[in-house]
Amino acid sequence: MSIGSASILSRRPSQHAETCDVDVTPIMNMFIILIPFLVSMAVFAHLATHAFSLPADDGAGQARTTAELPLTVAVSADRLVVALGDHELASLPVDALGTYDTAQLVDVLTSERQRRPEMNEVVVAVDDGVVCAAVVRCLDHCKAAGFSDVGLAAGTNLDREGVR
Amino acid sequence: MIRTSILPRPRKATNGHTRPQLTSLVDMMVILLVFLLKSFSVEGQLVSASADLELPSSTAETVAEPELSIEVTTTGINLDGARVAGFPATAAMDSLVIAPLYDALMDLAVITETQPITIQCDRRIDFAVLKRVLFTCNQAEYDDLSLLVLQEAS
Repeated sequence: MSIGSASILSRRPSQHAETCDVDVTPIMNMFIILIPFLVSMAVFAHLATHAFSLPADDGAGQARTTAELPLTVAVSADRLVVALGDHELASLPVDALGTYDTAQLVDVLTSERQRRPEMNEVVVAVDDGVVCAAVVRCLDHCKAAGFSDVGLAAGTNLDREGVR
Repeated sequence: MIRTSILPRPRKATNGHTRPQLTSLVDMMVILLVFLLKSFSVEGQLVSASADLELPSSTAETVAEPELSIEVTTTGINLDGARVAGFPATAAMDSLVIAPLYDALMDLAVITETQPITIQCDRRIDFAVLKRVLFTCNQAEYDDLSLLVLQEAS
C-alpha cells in the first residue's frame, strides 16, 4: 500500500473523527463528589482577633500625671488628636463626610515611632459617640505604625482640657 | 436555506438517543473547583461569629481561638450565646458596671479559672457600650481581652 506524498496532517479528517466525543461522565461524577466536600470545608470570611490592653489601675495618688502619659490617640466624633504627655502633636478634624484623616494619622504615628524607637506603647482613648468600627480602624493604624503595645482607654478629652 | 434560530442545532442521534452537551458544565465545574480549592481550609473556622452581628473589618492577623465570648449586638449583650442583658434596660443604668454581665462572669469564675475573653462587638455599636463591657470585665478580673474582627483580604 502506498502512503503517497501527502503528510498525515494534510489528510482530511475522517467522518469517524468528526463525530468522536469525549465521555465526561466520570469527571462529572468526581466533580459532584468533590465540590460539596470543598464547599463544606471552605472558609469565606476569615476571623481574627485584635489584642489590646486596658489601662492599669494605679490606685489613688499613684496615677500618672498628664506630662507622664504615653503617646495617645484621642478619638472623638469630630477629630483625632495625637498627643505625647501634655504636648499635642497633631489635631486631625474629620472631613465633610465625617471620615477620619487616617493617612495623616499613620504619618504622624510613623514619624513618632521613628523618632523614638524605644517607645512601643500607644493608647487609643475613645470618646463616647464613636462607633466600634472606627476604634478598630485606629487600633489597626497604631499597629501598622509599628507600635506593639496598644492600649484602649475611655476618652480623655485631651482637646478640651487645654493640652498645648 | 436561512437558519431561523440562533440556537445550535441539536446533535444527531447516535444509536437512537441524544447525548447532552456537557462541555460548558465541565468548564463551570473547573472554575468552581479552583475557587473552592483556593478558599479551602484544613482546620476550618474554629470561631464563628454570632449571626446577628456585623463585625468590624481589620488588618489584624492573629488567628481567632475558641475562648469565652461576649457578644455585643445591637439588641443586647450575650455571654457565650446566652442573653445576659438587653439594651433598653442596660442603657438606662447609670453605673459603668453592667450588673447582669458582672454576675454571670463571677459565676463562671467560681467554676473555672479566669480565662481570656473574645469580645464580638457589632461595628455600629457606640464605644460607650463597649467601654462599659470592658469595665465590667476588668472589675470581674478578666483582663485578657481581645476584639473579634473580620480579616480584610490582603
